[in-house]
Amino acid sequence: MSFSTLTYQYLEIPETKYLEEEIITRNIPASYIVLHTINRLALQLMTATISLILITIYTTYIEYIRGLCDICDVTALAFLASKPKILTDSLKLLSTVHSYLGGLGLRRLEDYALELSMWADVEIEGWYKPQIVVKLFENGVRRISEKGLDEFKLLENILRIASELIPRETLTEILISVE
Amino acid sequence: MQESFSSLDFYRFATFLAQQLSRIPSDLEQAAIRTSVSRAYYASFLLIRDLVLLRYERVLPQDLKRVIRTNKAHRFVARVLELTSPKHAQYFMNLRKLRNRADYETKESLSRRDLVKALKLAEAIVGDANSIVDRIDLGILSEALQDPENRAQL
Repeated sequence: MSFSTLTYQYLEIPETKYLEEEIITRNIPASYIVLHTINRLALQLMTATISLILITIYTTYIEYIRGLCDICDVTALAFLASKPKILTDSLKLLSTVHSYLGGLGLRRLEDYALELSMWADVEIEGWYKPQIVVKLFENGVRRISEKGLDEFKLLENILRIASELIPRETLTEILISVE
Repeated sequence: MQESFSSLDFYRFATFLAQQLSRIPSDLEQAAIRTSVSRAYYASFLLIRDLVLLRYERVLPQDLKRVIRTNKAHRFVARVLELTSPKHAQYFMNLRKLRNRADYETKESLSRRDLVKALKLAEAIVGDANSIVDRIDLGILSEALQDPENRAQL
């Protein structure tokens, strides 16, 4: 004799009625649980997919930035990764600086190199910024002087380009140098 | 009454020293370049700071007055420049980088090219100092003070 039959006997409920109720109480929660589980799984799947897409986009951006920089500091990359707007703006800027320098006839790694690193003040603790440095080699200095430019003038031009290309807020967050 | 010092004299001295480089013994050239770079920075920094003080001292909050007279003023001046003219802020930061190298990095030498750059950066800041300070208002000064990192240093 099953347990349910015993219960039926104690409670003196007609067996058929009890069975119907049992079917109802067992079936509704079951379907609800299935739906709930499906929803939860779908949500988890969606979150995982979005995370994966974001990670892929981030990784792509970071890889792209690394490809645009000849000297790349991990700390600066980590800093940029935490600030998506600055990351995408830096990407645009780095790419445009290459185009500008190329337009002046400067060859990458022969006349100049681009560096992405963190600048930290030696005197004042906690004063730091990511920096993009145009490192001019001797050839590069000679080439720009043939064009009537020097380091200061080159910086001035790059800053003009940067102010047209990226928002003011980003420009204050990164340091641009020519050395 | 003691005559006040004009920070522009630092810029004039930096330029003068640069012009005298060929007359300075070669073993003292590094010292002269470094002194000149450092004075060029201080001319720019002190000029902006003093102009801000001159125009706003009466209305400045007490804590800001305290900051502006300490070494924390370097960062404050940089922040004020960022809020008024990002281009000049970049010049200022570049000049500070050169000054830090001049005053602290003894393992590497500074070139005449570095000196020329420092003087041009200082000239750009000093030349536009009045128009920069014209753009500063109390809102900018308080925002510079609100900078969390500046505040943390108070």
